[in-house]
Amino acid sequence: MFDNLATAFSDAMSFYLVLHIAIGVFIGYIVGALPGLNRATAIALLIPFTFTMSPLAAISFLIGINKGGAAGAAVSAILMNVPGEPSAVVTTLDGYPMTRAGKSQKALKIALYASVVGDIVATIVLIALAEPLAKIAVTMGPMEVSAILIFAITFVAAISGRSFFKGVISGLFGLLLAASGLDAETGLPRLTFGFIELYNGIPLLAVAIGTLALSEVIVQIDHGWRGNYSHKALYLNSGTEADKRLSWREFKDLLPTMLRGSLVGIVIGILPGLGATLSSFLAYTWAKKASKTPERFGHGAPEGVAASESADNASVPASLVPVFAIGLPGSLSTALLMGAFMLHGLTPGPFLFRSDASLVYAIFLGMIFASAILLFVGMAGQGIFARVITMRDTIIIPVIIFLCIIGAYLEGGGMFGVYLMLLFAFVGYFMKKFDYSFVTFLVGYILGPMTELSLRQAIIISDANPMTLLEHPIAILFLVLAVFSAWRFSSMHMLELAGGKKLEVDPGREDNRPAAQ
Amino acid sequence: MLIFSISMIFVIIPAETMKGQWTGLSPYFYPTVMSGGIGVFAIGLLAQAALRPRYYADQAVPLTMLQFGMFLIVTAIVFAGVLAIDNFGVWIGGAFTIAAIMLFMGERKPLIIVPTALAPIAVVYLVVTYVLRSPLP
Repeated sequence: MFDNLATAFSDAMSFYLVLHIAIGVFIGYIVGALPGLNRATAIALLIPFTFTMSPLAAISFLIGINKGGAAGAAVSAILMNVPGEPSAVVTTLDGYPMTRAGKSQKALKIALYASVVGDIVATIVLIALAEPLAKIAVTMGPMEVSAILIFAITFVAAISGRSFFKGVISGLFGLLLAASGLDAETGLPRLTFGFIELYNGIPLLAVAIGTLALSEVIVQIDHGWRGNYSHKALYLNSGTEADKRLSWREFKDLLPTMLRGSLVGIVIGILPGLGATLSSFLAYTWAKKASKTPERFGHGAPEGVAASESADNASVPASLVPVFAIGLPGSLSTALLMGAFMLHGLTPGPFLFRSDASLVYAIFLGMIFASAILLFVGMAGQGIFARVITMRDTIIIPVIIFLCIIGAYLEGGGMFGVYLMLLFAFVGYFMKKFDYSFVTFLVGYILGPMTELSLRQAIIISDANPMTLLEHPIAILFLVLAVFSAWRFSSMHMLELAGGKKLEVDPGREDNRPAAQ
Repeated sequence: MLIFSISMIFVIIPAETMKGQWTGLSPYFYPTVMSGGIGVFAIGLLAQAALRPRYYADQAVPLTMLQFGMFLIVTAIVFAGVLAIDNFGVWIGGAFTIAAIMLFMGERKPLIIVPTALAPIAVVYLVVTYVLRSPLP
């Protein structure tokens, strides 16, 4: 590992790379801060602009957006009581009361430092865990891989929506869509509907931009039409000098909370489908329970902001552990990142450590740089972000729609991709309205080719005899886990139906406009 | 979803998979299994709704006609913008798209509409043409 790190260091130490990461973090910060927009949308929109970049710069740029987005979400949560992303809902609980008490700048600084701490700790864990896990994953055969994929999709489906059945349907729909194009084994066109443009499959960006970005902005146009498109005023400049600063002593007092939050973010982030929202909820609950004055929580406790933000940002690098180790995305942003890897000719997963170990470690180093840049951008851009979030939707939304069109055009297929994106905007709109999970859908779509290949190999190797499963204990374990998660979560949903009570946390929904206003 | 699954298995997959010779698994296999899975879980969803009708009756209607109408209008504007880009290029079509959506959203100040409609196109044009070296419509 250290040899690879040393080699990667020379690749990563370039102004070109740092510049790309800085631009990514800056864009991510703005997108995260803007209510209603999220980092997944930004990643989907900006993937086409990475086509001429080197794979290292492209992936680092996109990871920069992801990290910046996670940190930026706190800005509107603190200043306007409107979380930039669902994972920042918890930040509003204490962040906004701090703003009302004239401590908005202190709250923003706590959120930023907590984000950076969570980010750095989780990146170190990612570097330490990814390669050993990948070494284990390399030894697995198609049976095991198929079982892991079945478990991943079942688990993500079970956890990422209100209905288990709808979650699985979304996942299967994603897997089915990925079947379009030339059949990998026979080379025969399948589900191409006579379009040559579909021989390479349905373009990822047409699917991602249509379902995630375009459908979302159209929903926002509808929301604004009923309400209004402007945002509330800020309290940025109120308070005394002491209320604006965060002293070293205050930081030291908050550090244990930040580390606890980071731990929660790492554990939740590694598990597919659980997402940053759940991690910030759990970290907040833990911080409240550990506090000697829990009654301050909800009324402007700095620990509340620190716990939620450190967990939120820690889950970003942690969610990349299964991507690098097994090739398994567990969230919208990681699914899109995995798509970006593929568009750049790389196959994320255990074999990437064999074929491009120095690239992987250069990406890891880039992530560490991104953490430092995050601190700089957050400090220097505080005033800018505070103003950007007041920008009217009537300016932002039309520009995003234009970028959606250009993004779908650039991936390939020209205007065909754009028309396809419009079609998927319909799909995304109905999925959103009828509560079908985007996360499971996109994870299914990204994993589709790998699922088909490993399923085919498993069936051929086993001669379609299920008894051969007995020779594969790891596969049995993951299949049992899949059945268990299906049973456990579907029964939870049934209980919810029976009691008429809603689950409090809706973890995997990083795709929706935040509900708490 | 059940209708979708059935039509996939019996109509679309057979019609849209090229006939040919193969050894091993048929190209029909994977999409048929996925469509079958969708059908099975759609039946589960139906069973759930049948078992707990009161829960579903109490839920708010997920999509009203007004919302869907709004969605169709916005999509029609975007579609018109895409057609404009396809036929007249990114400068005219893009400016039309942005301006039309801004007007629809209630923005009426020309001093805001004109720069917003032109600036992003100029930036995208410069980036795509000179950095990505890719053609634009």
